[in-house]
Amino acid sequence: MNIPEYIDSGILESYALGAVSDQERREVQCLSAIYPEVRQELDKLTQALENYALLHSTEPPPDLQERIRGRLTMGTPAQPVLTNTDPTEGAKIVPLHREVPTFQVAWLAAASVGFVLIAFAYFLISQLKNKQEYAEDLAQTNTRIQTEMGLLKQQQQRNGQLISLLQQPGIETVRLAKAAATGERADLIVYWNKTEKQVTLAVESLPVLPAGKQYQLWALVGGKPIDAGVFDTDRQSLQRTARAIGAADAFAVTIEKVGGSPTPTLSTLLAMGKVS
Amino acid sequence: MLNRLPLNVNVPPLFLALPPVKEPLFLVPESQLLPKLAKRDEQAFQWLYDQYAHVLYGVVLAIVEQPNRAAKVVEDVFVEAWADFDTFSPQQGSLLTWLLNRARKAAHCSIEPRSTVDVEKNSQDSTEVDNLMANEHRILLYNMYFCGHTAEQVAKSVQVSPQGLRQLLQATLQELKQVFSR
Repeated sequence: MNIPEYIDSGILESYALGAVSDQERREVQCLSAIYPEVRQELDKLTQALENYALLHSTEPPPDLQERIRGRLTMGTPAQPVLTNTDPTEGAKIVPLHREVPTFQVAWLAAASVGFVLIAFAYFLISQLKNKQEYAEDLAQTNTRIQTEMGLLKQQQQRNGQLISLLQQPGIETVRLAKAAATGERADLIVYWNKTEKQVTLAVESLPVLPAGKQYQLWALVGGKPIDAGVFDTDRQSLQRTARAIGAADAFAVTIEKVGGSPTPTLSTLLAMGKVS
Repeated sequence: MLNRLPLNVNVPPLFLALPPVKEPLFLVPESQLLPKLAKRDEQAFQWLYDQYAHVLYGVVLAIVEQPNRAAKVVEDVFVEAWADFDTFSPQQGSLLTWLLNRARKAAHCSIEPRSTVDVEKNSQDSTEVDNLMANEHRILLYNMYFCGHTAEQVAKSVQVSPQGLRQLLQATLQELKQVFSR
C-alpha cells in the first residue's frame, strides 16, 4: 500500500470528523497502528480539532462539579455501567500489582538468595574437610595394608621355598636353639640335603650383630669343625650356604669377623644342634 | 442567531494557547493523569474536571443550545466516562478526543435530529477561526462538528458527490491544521 497516497486521499480527515463507514474506520485504525506516518498525520488532525473545540470552551455551571462528584465512586475502579463492555478490555488497564512495593520484594529475594549461597558454601567447605580427613585415613590404611601385604608375600615365598625344600628326599632337619645370657634368643633351623650336600638355613631369631661381625655355620664331623659358610640375620628368606657338606654329626653357629674364619672362635659359640 | 453561543474566547484557565504549539497544552499531561484515572483517584477527578469540563461543556452547549440540558449531558458524560475509563486505549488517540467524541455523541442523542442543513445559519464562529479560515470551510466544519449531520446530509446540502465532500473536508481540516500551526 502506498502510504503517502493513502494519507493524501482525505480519508484521515473524514475519519477525524466521524464521516466514514465502519469498514473505513477499522481500516484507518489498523493502518494507524502499523504506520507511524499515518498515526502522526491523524494525531495532527485530531489535535487541530481539539484546538478547535477548545476555542468553544465555556464556563460550566458552578454546581456541575459537585453534581458529578456525587455520582462517582472514588478509590476503587468502578464497575462498568454499560453491561456490553468487553470484560477483557476492562481488565487490561487495572494494574493490580502496582500497589506491591516491588523494590522490597526484590531486596528480600536477593537477600535470601545470598543467604542460601552462603549456607551452601559453608556446607560444601565442611564436606570438603570431612572428605580430606577421610582420604588421609584411607591413605594411611592403604600404606599399612601394602606393607603388610609385602611382608605376607615374602613370608609366602619363604614358605613356598620351605615346602619345596622339605619335599626333597633325604632332607635332614636340625634345630639350633639356645637362650643367650643377655636374654636374646638364638634360634635357627638347618635343612641339610645329604645326597646333594646342600645346606639351607632358616633364621627364626638371632641377635643383631655389631658392624664388622657375621654369623658362621660349622658342620662338626667326628668332633672336627668344618666351615659351612657365613650368613646374616635375614629372617624373611631361606639362605643357602656356599659350601658343600657331605657329612656332619652336628651343626654349630659362631660369631666371626665378616667373611668368616677358617677355625671357629669357641667363645662366641651361639647355638648347636645334633643331626639325628 | 449570530451570537447564539455564549462563546468564551477568553482562554480557559488551564489551556495555555501558545501559537506555535499544535498540541493542546495542559498542566497535567495525560501520562500523569492516566495512571491515577486507572485507580479512580480523587485527585484524578479533580484534574479531569478542571482540564476538560470547560471544553466539553462548551462543545455540548454549542450542540444542544440549552445550558440546563448541556450541564445534564456533561454530567452524564463524566459519570459514564469514569465508569468506562478501562475501555479507553491511548493507542487510539488522546484522552481529550475520546471525551469529546463521547460528549458530542451524547449531545446529539439528547436532541431532536436536525433534518435540514442550514448553511447560512452559522455565519460566525469564534474570532480566531473567523479570521483565519475560508468561510466555506468554516461553515462546513461547524456543520460537521456541532450539528451532528451525516456526511450524506452535508454532501446533499452543498451539492457535491461523496468523493467531492471528502476532498472538501480534507481541505477544511488541512486549513484548520494550518491555523493552529502558526
